[in-house]
Amino acid sequence: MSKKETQTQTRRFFSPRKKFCKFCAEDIHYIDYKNVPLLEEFVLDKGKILSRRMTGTCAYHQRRLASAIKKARIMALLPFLPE
Amino acid sequence: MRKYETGFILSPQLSEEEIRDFLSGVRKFIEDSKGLVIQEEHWGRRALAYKIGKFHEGNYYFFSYEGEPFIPKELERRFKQSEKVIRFLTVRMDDYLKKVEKMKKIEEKKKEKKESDREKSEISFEKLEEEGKDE
Repeated sequence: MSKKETQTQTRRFFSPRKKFCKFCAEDIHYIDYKNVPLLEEFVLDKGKILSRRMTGTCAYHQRRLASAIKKARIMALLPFLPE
Repeated sequence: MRKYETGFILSPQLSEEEIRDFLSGVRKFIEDSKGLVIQEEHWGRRALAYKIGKFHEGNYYFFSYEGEPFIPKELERRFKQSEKVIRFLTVRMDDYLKKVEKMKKIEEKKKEKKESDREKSEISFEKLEEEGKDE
């Protein structure tokens, strides 16, 4: 598996640092929708939620993160659209 | 008994007194209906990420409490009727926390398999689980 990965990586552009899930690394289990500075890291200025491919978040935390961001949007803590 | 967290945004046009009255009203309602207020978060005035109605700012308040399901239901009904509240959101916490605990336990087991002696003092129920296993 590692061989395949390195092969595809050499063909395409890749970042030199390996991505990792921030929530696993920092042991964050409950992603709070009120924690705006944390959520902002995973949102574009456009308001879009960054993909797992971009951020390296694991599937479990990406699901939690997405719902937290959506809750934050409802409470006007994060924008739906850029102003 | 369930755990909830209700957040609401009060209109920026309210005076401090009106806000205080409103908050004590919420607190009183929860306590009168045999609920328990666990935590209150007062953020105060804050810019909204987007315009709601004609407002660009709002007063943010969050209540976490424990109680029967009719409490958030009745609270939300009141919020809907009141013009003082621009936006509100209730989140049920116990479901989430249970899942989180489950995930933590699974992770712990994995860790225990790999490295038997690595303890983190920050989480108390890790210790409890270990005690249970010793018995």
